[in-house]
Amino acid sequence: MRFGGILLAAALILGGCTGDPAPREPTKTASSPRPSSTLKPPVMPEQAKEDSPEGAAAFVTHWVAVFNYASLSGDIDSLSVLSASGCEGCSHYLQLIRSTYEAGGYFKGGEWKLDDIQVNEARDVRFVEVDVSWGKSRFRKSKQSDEHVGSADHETLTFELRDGLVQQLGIGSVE
Amino acid sequence: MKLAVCLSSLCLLIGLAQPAYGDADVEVDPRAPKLGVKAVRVEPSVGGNVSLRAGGHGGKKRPPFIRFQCPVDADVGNYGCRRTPDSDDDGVDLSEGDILRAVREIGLPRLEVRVQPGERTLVNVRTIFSTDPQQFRRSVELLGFDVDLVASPVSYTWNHGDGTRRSTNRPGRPYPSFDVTHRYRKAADVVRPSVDVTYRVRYRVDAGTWSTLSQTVTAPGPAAELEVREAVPVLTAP
Repeated sequence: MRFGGILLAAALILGGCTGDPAPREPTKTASSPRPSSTLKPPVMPEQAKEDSPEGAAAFVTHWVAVFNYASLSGDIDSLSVLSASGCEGCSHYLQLIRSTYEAGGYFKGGEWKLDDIQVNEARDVRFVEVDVSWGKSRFRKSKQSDEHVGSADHETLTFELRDGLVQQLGIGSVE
Repeated sequence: MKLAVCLSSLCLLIGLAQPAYGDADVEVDPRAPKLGVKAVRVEPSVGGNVSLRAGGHGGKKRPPFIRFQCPVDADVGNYGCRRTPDSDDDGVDLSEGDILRAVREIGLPRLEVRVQPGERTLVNVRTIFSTDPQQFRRSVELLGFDVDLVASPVSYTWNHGDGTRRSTNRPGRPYPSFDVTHRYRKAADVVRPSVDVTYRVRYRVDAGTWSTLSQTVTAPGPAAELEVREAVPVLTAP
């Protein structure tokens, strides 16, 4: 696993689900939702760049922090950089956040919080298994829709990491 | 969440049972993993299975993972991982049996038998058998290891289709060579000859040194069709 090459890999993956192999910087289009001015994207900790179980745990923690930031701000650029184009779960969340904010909706509260982290390591892949909980939230799917209250809950999630990117999200534990 | 249909007396009760958050409806947050992430299964090309399943029931063979528990070190704020005791039980060693199973699952080349003089032959005439041997090379990922496989034919069992068979260590050659031949004793509308090829398999793990599987692997070939005729000598005037 090459966490050391994460910055290069991240640059290459900027195309997200478009499959565009050309590196490019994150851009804001006219239709992109305007990020909240009070929120700033989390900075990746140095440990998250390490090629080690600790690095994998720190990387997933950072991914979740960026996910929380994206869902509260509407700015999905950082989240897309950390997610492989083939990660369906990541694509789902990117699309959810993008479409919600483009429609004038929002998410407030309900950030994911991590509890126990277990790293399952094979030769060229790591599965990071985390207990995730989230509190009550308020969200609006579009400008016209009513505001809803999201219920608190928890779940075990597994992140598959290869080449310093989240390749896959799954519910449940590695058996 | 509002109920669209309810009986008159129950409506009030159900309405009272719903938690009240001002005027907002209570729903599952769309970011909840149950909605956003589906359960997935990862299966390596050959070998152990990794299942990611909701509920954690059942499951297949345990994956060959080394497991770490990774609490946060409160002093420095970083993660510190400890290998869990059950890691050693996870079977990361690759056995010869694993490789043999993988080779059988992949399948080695099944060779066609070539028969001469052609679709027909004669009783008591040497019928020539041959085949085109192939060396088989494949690289696979097996239980997290990179395994290179090379299989080479070492013997050939010729099934003549008349109930007899013969083994050689040569693949035979076409006419005019007579490396591998057979004389049919009886006429037959059709016999189905074939050749089974036995391979010796060498392998190496993670680009290490080459080893040879102690067992050989035999690939049965497809049957051809051959008519066996009986020739009758006829004297004619010059």
